[in-house]
Parts: sequence; structure tokens; C-alpha cells
Amino acid sequence: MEDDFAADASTLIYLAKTDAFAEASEVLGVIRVTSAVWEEAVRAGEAKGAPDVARIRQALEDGHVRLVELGDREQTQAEALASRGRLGRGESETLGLVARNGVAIIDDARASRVAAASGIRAISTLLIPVIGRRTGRLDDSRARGLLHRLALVIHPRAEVLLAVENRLEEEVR
Amino acid sequence: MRTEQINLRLRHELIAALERVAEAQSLDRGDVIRRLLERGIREWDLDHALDRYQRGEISIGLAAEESGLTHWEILELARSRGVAHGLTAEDVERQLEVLVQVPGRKASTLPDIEPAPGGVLLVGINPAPVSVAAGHYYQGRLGKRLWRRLERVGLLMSPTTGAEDDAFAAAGHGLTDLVKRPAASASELGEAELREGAAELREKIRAWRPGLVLFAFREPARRLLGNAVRPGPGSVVEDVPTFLLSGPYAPVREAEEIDAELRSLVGSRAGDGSGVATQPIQPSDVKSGRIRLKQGVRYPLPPDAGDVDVVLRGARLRARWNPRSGSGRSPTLQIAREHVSELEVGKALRVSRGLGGVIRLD
Repeated sequence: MEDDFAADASTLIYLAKTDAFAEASEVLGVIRVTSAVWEEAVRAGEAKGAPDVARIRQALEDGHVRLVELGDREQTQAEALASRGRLGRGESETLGLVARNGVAIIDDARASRVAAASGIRAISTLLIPVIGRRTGRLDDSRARGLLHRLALVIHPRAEVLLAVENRLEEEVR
Repeated sequence: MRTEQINLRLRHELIAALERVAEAQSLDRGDVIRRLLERGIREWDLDHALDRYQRGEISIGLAAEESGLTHWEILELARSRGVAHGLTAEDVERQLEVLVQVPGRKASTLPDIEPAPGGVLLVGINPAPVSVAAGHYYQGRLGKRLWRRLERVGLLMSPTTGAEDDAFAAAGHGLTDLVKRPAASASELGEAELREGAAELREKIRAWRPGLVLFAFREPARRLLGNAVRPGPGSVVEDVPTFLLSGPYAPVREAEEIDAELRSLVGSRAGDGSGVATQPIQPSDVKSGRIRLKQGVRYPLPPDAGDVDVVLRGARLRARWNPRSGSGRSPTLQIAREHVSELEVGKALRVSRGLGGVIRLD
């Protein structure tokens, strides 16, 4: 499967907390992670003894995620996005990485809007079950189960959860 | 660590409280004040970062960086303080549109290409579906014609058919659109997204500071410069000069005149004053953050002192220009010391004028 998707630190943390790396990579393929995201989610998490951080290292060992380096052009784009969009390093690197090809999995609202305004594709972690259902890689029960586990750690607004549930419902029909 | 003594007047009650804490902690009053101050500032940084995040001014990642927390900690803190997740149903609906394209792995629009400092930023209305499907800008009938025009005026060299934007970007130029949503016709775009797009475009120009904003079509120019805008050079946007190409259906003669004007602008900017050397950089220049020019040599710089935009080996900076006319001393460009310190002592720079009037120091 093509590894088009790249995850931000929040997404790695949510997938770690819900122990959902295997399901996520079943749906998305190998998830790309930049060095700044790795630093934010793994190294900084380990330094502070964050629970569940070991699951991210395990996901790397299991081949669910892959570390990637940004090229010069991607790096330049990431820096411009960081300063123009007032984003963190991990968020801007993730968007810079997928700018020409790919989709960012990112949950921050500001980063999502900066991506949309720059023509970069970005979706919330909450939409992984919808892709899973649409592509037939998750059956209805697994897709719903994953969405509810993710919702418990992401704490989206009710209107957001309803919109995603409705879309999942449409996919089932 | 450098320290400085400050005197401050405190109420008696506060001094009594400080002494109470000092006694309980077996510390002196000074230590108590320092520790409480450090804790207070840390708290303030944290509150300030969370507040800016909640108002949508910065992302959660930047809030973590600014407050010194890890990503794990800031997510937990935001949740515990009841900060609502920023994503709205509208955001998710827009993302679901993106998702429509995901299983087929086809792009839903074209990403912006940022210009190099001093390069041209070519602005369209919105991507045509045919271009999005091709993964390259301006692949429709009018778009192809636009690339040929840009080739004729000298802004596009040795392009590969079907990937002209790659050659354009390789020359240091950038591409964006007023609205990033593709549509077969610009008439499908709504007023709200056009207005929002204009604000975004202005922000991109401010951030990227290109040498020239080149409007491929009238709509983005009209949104930024007003209804009276005409083909040819326009007023500045965010201190950047602009130029509007004539429309695709303009009379041949008018189009030729406008193209000639752009060709002349591109040509004059590229060649104006190129290759005029500064004086070699000396240790004293590094120390004082200046670049000395030669007396009596004509440089592409204004006659009077003032701030000028310069591109120093690819980095766009603001410099203070002092021609020192008639003083018998060398004209100078005053630049932040850290930038001058990166230059090689004993070597001169070449001064030229790039697109949009920006001064290049290479």
C-alpha cells in the first residue's frame, strides 16, 4: 500500500492512547512521521514519563510508522508555514512533507485551516474510521469501535462527532 | 548568569507573607521572591499560550513550544482546563470533501509554491480541475496560453510541456491562487470564499515578500487593489509591486503592449546595475554590522538615506541605506550583525537589482 499519510504529534499520541496503530496502518498504510514530530511525541514524552509512549516506539518496530527526513524544498515550505501560520515545528513539518503529495493527519484546527488555505490536504484522526469503512478495510463494527475510542481521547465538539458519525452511517448504507 | 538588582516597593502585608514563607522554607526573603517570581512567570506563559490557542491565534504545537510543555502535557492541560477542541463541524465537512479524493489517491487541489526572495509570485483565481488532475498549474487551454506568454516575456525558460510550473518554480518564482478550491469556472466561487481568499492572499504576500506579484487574471487583482485596477503595473500590496496581465480575450495589440511592459520590467530589473562590487568585507564591518560600498560608483540604490529591502545571499532582510553623499566617506548598508558575520572577510559582494526593485547582494 502507498504510504501517502503523515501524522502529527497529536495523532501519534491519540493512536498510542487508544492502542490503535495496527488499525490505523491497516487503513492508511505505513504512516510517515517527521523528526520534529518524533521529538515532540516520543523523545519529549519519554523524558516526562508519558504513559503509552512506548506504543509509538512499538509501532515503529512493527512497521506501522516510518521516520522520514524532509527535503530542502519541503523544509522551506515547512518553515514558511510555521511562521505564516503560527504553527509548531511538528505541525509545519507534517504539512510541508505532504504539500506536494500526500495527506496530513492533524487535529489542530489552526493547522487544518492553514493547510486548506495553502492547498494542502489535511484530515482529523477522527476520519480514519471513515476511510477504513469506505475502503472496506474496516467492517462497520470495527470502524464504529475505533471512532468511539478516538473520541474518548480527542474530546471533539459534539457537532464534530455527529458529523463524523453521520458520514460513517452513509458509508454503511 | 547575568543578574541585575531591582528595587520595588511592597505592601507590609505582602512582606509579612514573604517572611512567613521564608521561615517555613528556611530560605531568605530574596530566594522566596525569586522562586515565586519564576513560578508566576511560568504560570503566566502557560496561561498566555493556552489563551492564544483557545482564541485560535496559534496552534496547539506552538502553544506547547511557547509554554515549555510537552505535547502530551499541553493536550492534557487543555482538556483539564475545559478548553474546547478547536475543530468545528465546518472544518470536518471541508475535510470530508478532501476525503472524497483519498481512496483514489488523487489530489484535491494544487499546493502553493512559495517564491524565493525577490522572485515573482504568480496569482491565479483558483485551480482548474484539469490542472489539478495533471498535478501542475495552468494545464487548461487558457493556462497553456499563459505559460507561452510568460516564456515570451522571459519569466519561463526551458519548460517541460505539462510541467511548466516546475521550471517556473526552479527559477525562484512561486504560484498561488485567490481560492484554492478547484472549479470548472470562476463563476462557481462564492463571495465569502473570494473575500476570505483575498485576506489569505494578502497574508501570503506579507509572509513571502516576493519581488513582484503578477496577477494572471483580473479577479485577484481587483480583490486586492480595487475595481479600478487596469492591466500593467499596479499599486503595491504589502510593500510589494504588482502587475496585472491583460485578459485572455484582450485585443492582440493591447496584449502585446502589456507583455512588452512586463518584459521591460523583468529585463530592466534583472540587468539593472548587476555585477557592481562592494568593498571587501573587513573585520570592522562584521563588528559594526555594515557593508561598505565604493565611492563614486553608481549602485542600484536610492539617492537618499532610508530603509531598503535587500536579499543577502538568498535571505530577505531590511537594511539601512546611507549614501553619505559629499561626506568623503564610503556609502554603507547597515544590516544586523549576525548576517554580516556570516560573510567571508576579504571578499566583496556583487550588488544588483532583482525583480520588484529588491537589492540583491550575492
